[in-house]
Amino acid sequence: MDFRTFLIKKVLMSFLISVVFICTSIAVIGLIYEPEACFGYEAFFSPIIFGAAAALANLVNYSSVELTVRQAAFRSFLHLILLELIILSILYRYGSISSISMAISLGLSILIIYFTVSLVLWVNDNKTAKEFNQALRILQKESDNKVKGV
Amino acid sequence: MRVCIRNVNDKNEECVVIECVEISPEVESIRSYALAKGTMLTGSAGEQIFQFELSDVFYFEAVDERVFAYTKANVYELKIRLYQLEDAYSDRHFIRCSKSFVINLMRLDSISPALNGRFYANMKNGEKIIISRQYVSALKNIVFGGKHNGF
Repeated sequence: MDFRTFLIKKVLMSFLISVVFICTSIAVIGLIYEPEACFGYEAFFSPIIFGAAAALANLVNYSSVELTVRQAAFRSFLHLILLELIILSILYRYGSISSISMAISLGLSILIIYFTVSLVLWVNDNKTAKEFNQALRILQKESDNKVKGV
Repeated sequence: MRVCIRNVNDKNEECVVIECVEISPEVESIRSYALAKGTMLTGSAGEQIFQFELSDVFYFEAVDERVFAYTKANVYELKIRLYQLEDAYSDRHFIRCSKSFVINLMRLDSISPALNGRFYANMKNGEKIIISRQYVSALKNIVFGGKHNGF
């Protein structure tokens, strides 16, 4: 995949999806816990900033050549570290982190979300693999039968 | 280059004749492609030239402009490009699974998930080959015979 395609397909898509989910989360959680809260226009920048930060961290996964599984695993780890650093830095910069324990719990939350997403993707891929393998058996059997003239 | 096609009555008489001033790499490539359309392949191992069955090939790999065919026990170098093999044998279940690999679906044991939306192709000889994300959907379409609309 060339860099331009990666930028459009992965980074831009990731940004748009992140912004939509952050907006939805703020709306739902806000309505539940602080329905009376009011914000200024600057609040609209918050999902965009976090979305951009999360999407830019994706750049670490770019490679013009095929990565080995070990390299991909290392880049995923690097991606997680970058996400942690960027998100926690932004929160700290805007004064949303008041104590070390809060920073640790936020860091853990990011970690749990990251692993949950990875797990969901893996479970989905595993299901894909199982269905593929069943279809492969049928294809191989049909091809064998053709060769044998059955 | 002029191309002439002459009709013959018997299938056994079918052949490709190349008339050329010298055997250039292009001519060699045409020769290899014509040979590749059969079920027997010609490849070299060391200094020797061998013929082997296409169905014995587990996968083809391109390494630095060179293409290799892997059978259960041997590796042969072929004088043909990977995309030509892909074109020539796609109807015989040879499918591109990454930039450098074309695998034989009949010699594929199973696939299993790898990282980042990619998969491992677990070949029947025990080797594992990475299926790139960009080739996953094409591979699924072929195996599901177009009956599956993606995942």
